[in-house]
Amino acid sequence: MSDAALTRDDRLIAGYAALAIAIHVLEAGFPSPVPGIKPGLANVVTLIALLRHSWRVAAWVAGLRVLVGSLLVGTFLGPAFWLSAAGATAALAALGLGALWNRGLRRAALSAPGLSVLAALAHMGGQFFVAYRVFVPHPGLLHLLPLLMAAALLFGLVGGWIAAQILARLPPATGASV
Amino acid sequence: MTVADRIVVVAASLLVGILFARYWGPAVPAAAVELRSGREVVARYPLDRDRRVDVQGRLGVSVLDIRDGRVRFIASPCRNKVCIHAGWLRHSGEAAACLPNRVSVSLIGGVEAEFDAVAF
Amino acid sequence: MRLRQGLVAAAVVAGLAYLALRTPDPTPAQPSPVHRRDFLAMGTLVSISAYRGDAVSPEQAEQALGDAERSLLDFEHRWSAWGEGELGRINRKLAAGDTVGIPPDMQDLFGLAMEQTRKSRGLFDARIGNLVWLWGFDDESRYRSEPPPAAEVQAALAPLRGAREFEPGKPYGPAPGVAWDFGAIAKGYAVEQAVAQLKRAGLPDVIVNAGGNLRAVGRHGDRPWRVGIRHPRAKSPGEVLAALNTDGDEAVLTSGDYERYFEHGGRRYHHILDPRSGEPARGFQSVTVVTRDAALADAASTALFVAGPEHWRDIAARLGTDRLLLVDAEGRVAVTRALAPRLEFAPGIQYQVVE
Repeated sequence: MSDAALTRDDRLIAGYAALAIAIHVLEAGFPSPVPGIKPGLANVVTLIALLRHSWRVAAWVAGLRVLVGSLLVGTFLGPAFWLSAAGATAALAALGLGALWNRGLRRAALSAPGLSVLAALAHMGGQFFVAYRVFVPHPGLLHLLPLLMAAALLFGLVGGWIAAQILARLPPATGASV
Repeated sequence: MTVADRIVVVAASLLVGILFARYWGPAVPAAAVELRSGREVVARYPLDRDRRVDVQGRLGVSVLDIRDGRVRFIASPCRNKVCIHAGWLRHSGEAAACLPNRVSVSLIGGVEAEFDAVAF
Repeated sequence: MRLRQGLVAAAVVAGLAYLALRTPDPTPAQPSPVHRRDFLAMGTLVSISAYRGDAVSPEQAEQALGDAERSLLDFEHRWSAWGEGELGRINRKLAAGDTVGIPPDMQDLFGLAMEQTRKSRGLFDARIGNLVWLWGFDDESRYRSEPPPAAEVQAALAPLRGAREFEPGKPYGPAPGVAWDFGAIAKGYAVEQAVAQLKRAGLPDVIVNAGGNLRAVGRHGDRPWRVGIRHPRAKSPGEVLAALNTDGDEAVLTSGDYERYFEHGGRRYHHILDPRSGEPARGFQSVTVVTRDAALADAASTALFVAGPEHWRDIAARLGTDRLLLVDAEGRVAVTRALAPRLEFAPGIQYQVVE
């Protein structure tokens, strides 16, 4: 594959995805006190990709991150992979809605914190839905839902704040479409 | 933080609060199914795990179905199947029996039932 | 700092939403003051609930419930019509044409049953043991799935006309073709005895429920005992017609066509037999009597069930009972004026108040 075959987007996506995958793998190495709760810092990368470029780039970054990350961690096609994929899909859908909102209502646009919270809640919600409907259809799991969603809110706010800090320090991207 | 961001954060916080109110209930002592064959209590099962249970009785095996926090007879080696017609037991204190097979089931613990007894 | 403000705001909003919407805490978990025991006896499910006051320890309460259970099982053995116990022995002697002395401790129930037979003009009769045996309702292991031949029913019925009456203190017999079956009164009587026994053991607040023949005395702590009356066509045991908060000393007894029955040719054949026809009584789905004495109410609910929608008033007057809930064969619910103010009907139940 020659350099000429790579478009600018390809390089962008590869760079973001590499960063997201690194974070994904690092996070997988830390034991979580409560199963299902992780800071989800990899989502910050997706968010930055969305805000600086486009939803399409963000979707590629998230998709590659779930796929390659799970291959590296060794959970590919296992329950953790499907949970991760469900979460990422839901988060991307939420980000897509957020991007649509911003396109329609430029004056009341969402920025990093709002989008991050939306994505984090959708991520956790998607994961929980799959976990509850497919893997452990046990009513006891519902008792965990408020805790999980509170954690998602917390990490969504923190992730949004981090994303905002990073975005402020980066030079304005060309072709940002949000 | 834009206005829209604030709205999203407040809405998300409300959602989390509602979820806590709805699902973060104080732990109620779990209700259980008590199964008897003849005069012996043969088993107790928590009501919150779905399962089927076989109970050996005088004539044969009665099968009970524990599902969605309820229990009922689904098979019994009796002629008239009154036990199966009894339907689902839901509340603490309710009981049903297959008299010919001498197998009975009752719900114990959990939230107090509406009635202390039912004249049936 | 924006982040800290955001976190605090989120926590405050979530906390307020939780406080506004949470369900109030149920009472803190503590050992239940209600002791309960379920077991099979007298061909039905018996349950005893006792509200334990401070005077009795949990261990003593369990002990008392265990004693009551044993007494009821002894009672079952003693009074089963064809078992190895005393009544079985009496019936076998009668079948052999003998005259039998009735033991002193059985005189009371024999006398009570005979008195109720006279008062109800034979609609309740404990001397139909052979008829009950023929239908197979006395023993759950002999349940039939089709009615016995009419000729056999008539043969079991014939000796009842002008059958010898029991006279207190005297031997009974000879009475060819007569056998005693206390199925329609013994459960109420046993409930009375169990309640008395529990009271002696320091448990004055109890419900004893023998297959729907129940007596509630005392209270459930600071509230009355609350009793449901089953819907005769209930789809689950929790489905009731009406609820009753007992007044501290009440018996609630129901005779229904759903307790023991089989269906044959689209017809329901149940265990409440009309001593005049030898067939299951038609006309009611259930009759509930609310009164003070469970044994009398047991016999009364049977007699009223047999009397049917046309004649129950006459029998109720003769038996001196006026608090009744009746469900006829079409499922129409009637409640007497004396009982109506005491009942809380379940949602959707249509009923008529009758004299």
